[in-house]
Amino acid sequence: MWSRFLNIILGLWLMISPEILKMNQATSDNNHIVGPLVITFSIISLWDINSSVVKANIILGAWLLIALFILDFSRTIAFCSNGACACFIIVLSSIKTRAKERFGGGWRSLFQHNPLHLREAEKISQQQTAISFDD
Amino acid sequence: MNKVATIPPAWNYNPSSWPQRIPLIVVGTVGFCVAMYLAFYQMHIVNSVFDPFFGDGAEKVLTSKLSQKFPVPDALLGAFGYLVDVVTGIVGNTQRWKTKPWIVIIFGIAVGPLGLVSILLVISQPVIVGHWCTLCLCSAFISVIMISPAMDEFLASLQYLQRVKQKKLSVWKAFWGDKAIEQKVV
Repeated sequence: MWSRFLNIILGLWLMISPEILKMNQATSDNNHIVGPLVITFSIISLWDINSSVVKANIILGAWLLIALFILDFSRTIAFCSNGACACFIIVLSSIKTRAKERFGGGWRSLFQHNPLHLREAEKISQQQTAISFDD
Repeated sequence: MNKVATIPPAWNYNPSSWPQRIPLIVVGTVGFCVAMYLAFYQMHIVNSVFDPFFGDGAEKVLTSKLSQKFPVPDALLGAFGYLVDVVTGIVGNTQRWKTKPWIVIIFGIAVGPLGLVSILLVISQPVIVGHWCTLCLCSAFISVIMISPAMDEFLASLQYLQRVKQKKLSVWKAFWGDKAIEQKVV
């Protein structure tokens, strides 16, 4: 959970750093696009049901690293700031959290032939049938 | 109806219970009020808009060319989205993931894309317009925090329809809350 909050702070920093570090247009636009996306994926992954959405931040972090060598970072401090953000985002988004809730097999269950919720539903209906025979 | 019967199979809570839905309804109502206030400015009903951080940034964002691309003010579209969220959040009982899948799915569709559109608008503020707007950011934040809490109910309804399909019953009828199918499928 704390890793998600740290990611939100990093996303906020990406959003405001172009002003503070006086970045050029291209690098500012890059941060203004990536920052809100990092925050969005981090907020969505705060809930167990969508915890895996945080993995999207790994792609954004990787893009930030690639962008260091594609975009023109004329100021060293801007280069270092984005590089550090990219590394932290990748590391923090790779941390696995243990889900407290059960969701019938989650989103992947929708694409499975015999998902967890279906097996449990069958057990429940068998129990209900047994109870009605006893009555 | 007992508590266990309202919990979907292989879940440990009921996503349609009021404690799960009320926070979303409250947050959606706040979002609706914020969006309506911004729409009032765009419709010239109020003369200025409150912005504690970016001065006249909010006014520049709300009067930008991008905000006038739609036939109606974009904040009004946002307000309509929040209204759909609130109404579809209220309708139905605590077993609506099974009794009214259609309303849960409309709710999920309203909450999900609204949040994603909000992010595009957040990105467009600095990148296209060149200014920030505090209340627009608040509205976007509200729509993003609504996504995951709404998705659990959405998933429970989709899983129910999946069980209906596996039993070779009509998914279409179940979608509209067919009572006979409800009795046959857990």
